[in-house]
Amino acid sequence: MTDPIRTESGSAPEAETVEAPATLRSRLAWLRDVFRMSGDKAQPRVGLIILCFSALFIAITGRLALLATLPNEQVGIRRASSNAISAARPDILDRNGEILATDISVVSVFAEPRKILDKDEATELLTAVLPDLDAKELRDKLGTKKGFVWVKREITPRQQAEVYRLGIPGVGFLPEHKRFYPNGPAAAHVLGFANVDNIGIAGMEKYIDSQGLQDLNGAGLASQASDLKPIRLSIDLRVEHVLRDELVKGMERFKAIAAAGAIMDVTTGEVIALVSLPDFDPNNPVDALEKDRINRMNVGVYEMGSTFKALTIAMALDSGKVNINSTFSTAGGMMRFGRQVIKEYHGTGRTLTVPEVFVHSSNMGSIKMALAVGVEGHKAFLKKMMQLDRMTTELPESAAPIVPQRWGEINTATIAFGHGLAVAPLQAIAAVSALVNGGYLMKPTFLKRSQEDAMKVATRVIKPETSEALRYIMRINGDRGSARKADIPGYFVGGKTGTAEKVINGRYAKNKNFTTFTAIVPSDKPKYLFLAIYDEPKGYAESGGYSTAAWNGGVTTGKLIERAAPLLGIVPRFDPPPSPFPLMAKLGAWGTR
Amino acid sequence: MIKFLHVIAIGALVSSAVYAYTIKYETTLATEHLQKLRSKTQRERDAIQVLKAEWQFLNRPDRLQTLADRHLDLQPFQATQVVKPSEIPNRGPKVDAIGRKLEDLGLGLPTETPRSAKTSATTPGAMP
Repeated sequence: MTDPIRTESGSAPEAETVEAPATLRSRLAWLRDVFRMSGDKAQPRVGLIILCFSALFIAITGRLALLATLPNEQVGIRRASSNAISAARPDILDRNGEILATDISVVSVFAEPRKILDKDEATELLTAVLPDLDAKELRDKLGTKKGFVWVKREITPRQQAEVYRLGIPGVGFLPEHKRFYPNGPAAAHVLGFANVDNIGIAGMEKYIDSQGLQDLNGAGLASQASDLKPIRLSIDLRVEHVLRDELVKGMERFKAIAAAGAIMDVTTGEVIALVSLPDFDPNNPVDALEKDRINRMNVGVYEMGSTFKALTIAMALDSGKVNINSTFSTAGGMMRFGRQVIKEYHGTGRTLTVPEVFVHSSNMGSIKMALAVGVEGHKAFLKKMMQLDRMTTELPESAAPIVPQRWGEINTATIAFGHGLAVAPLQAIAAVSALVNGGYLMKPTFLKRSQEDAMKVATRVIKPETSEALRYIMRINGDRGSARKADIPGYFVGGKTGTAEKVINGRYAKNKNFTTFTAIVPSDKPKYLFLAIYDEPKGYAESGGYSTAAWNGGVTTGKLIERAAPLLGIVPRFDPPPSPFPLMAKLGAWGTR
Repeated sequence: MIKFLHVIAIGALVSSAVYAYTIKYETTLATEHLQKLRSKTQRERDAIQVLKAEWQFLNRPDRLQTLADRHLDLQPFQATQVVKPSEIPNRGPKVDAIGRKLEDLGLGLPTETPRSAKTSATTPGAMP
């Protein structure tokens, strides 16, 4: 009982000695007074004892509070690992609810270096069970002062049992999420992939993260996939597979260095399928970042060739300066712009009407139409069609088009037939969709959406009559022009080929083509747009050595329509629609009689 | 009297303590049970997730196509195979094929059947 008092008497004066010896002496006298055994001194003595005990209890309470608020050992591990453990991600489904990406649980081994007694022994035992671990690296990891290090991520249940049997203190397991893509390379470029920490690195996976998933995880929420709402894409897995299958076969047959394709719903702007070859397996994305594995639909920019003539014709018709019966002379077969000469590819030398310009893919006709509108008008139209700016979709990867720095008459002339302006193919099909769907331009999307939602974001870019004219000329081209290869009976296909010579070292290479084929199904009321692209296809025996778009893209698109149309629910009709293009018939356009 | 009160008080104290401990242990037990069930549902959920992924993995179009090519002799779908409901022909008039055949054989006449049960000697009737 005297113990606390003595300490009190010992420590209190020491603190005071320096500043006031006089008060110290008086304090000592007072203390001596207190301890003198006598009845009347009881009051201050009791007071002092109360003080001491109060101090003691305050100290105990303080310590308790400290223990309660400070995290204990168990919580410490959780905190240390919460940044390291891979986060949960929502499932990604296709438009019919098939799984495209999901989380599965796996177990990872971790260690707490501070708790491991014999680090050398632990290293030895662990490397014996997990032979693909680097012993030196592991020893260095265990030698650190950290509270938490990973030993190995994603081990098998058998390895887990073996590590468990070792019974090393300070080594434990944590359940983790691993991203799994059951369909392998199908839709790889759309899905992208997630890294070992389950953070989206590319494609829709990255898009999901950018929508606030990482913040959720940071706040400690959403650690289970079941807490998260699945993401439903516009992709149709079956059609995606068909597209990939046909392109893989085509690439082999035409000996192309790359291929790409897309199917789009022109009424909603949804991308139903998108393939770019060569692709990668998102389960093992080691080669995903190689240069030739880019998403050619979105990240590559190309001169789209004659496909652009559709845009030129739409512009000319919509401006009112040209109508469907206007004629253009192609006499001479060439045009001169300063030092440059532009030739006809399939020269006819005749005077052509607008549908004939399209069917014969006349460069001169297109140039004359573009020049009728003028350079500024041409620029404004392409701007309106979103061809001059980077197009951003949900996919984080995108490329800006290559637009001529100084846009003169010669540029308008070449861009009129698809050279001199390089755009992303996805951008081009968005524009072509607008030309045929009645004139509504909408940004392509990879998320499922209804037609009402699509119409809310759509802008009218051309008149419905112009759209009908475009559908008409595409159908004529499918019926008797260069798109015949894709004219599968029953589906009323319309299309346009596009062959551009590739630029090698600043010159157009005669023998290296970049071919595109665009088709719409069915032409009288288009629902789907098909696109097939080949990079440097070669001629083959049946094609007579030709490597132009009809002989590769056209063939592939034909097969594609045959296989995909039933999946997409397009009903074949063997008697042609009674009056598919009423306005064109009324105007007596070329080919209606 | 005082002693009796003491006994009652002590008894009450002991029984309340026992009751409190029972409750406490029951709670602990229930918590444990809950924890077990939770981890069990979690395991089941994980298993479902894995099975779903496996199902999709086995049903991936790529694999199905390879298997179909190898084991089935089905033809690819042709557009001409699609028929609209309106194009399905109406069912023809009902033809009694067996009856016609019988007629051709000269067996078309109705079989003679006995008019009443009384005249029939062969049919075993109910004995009175």
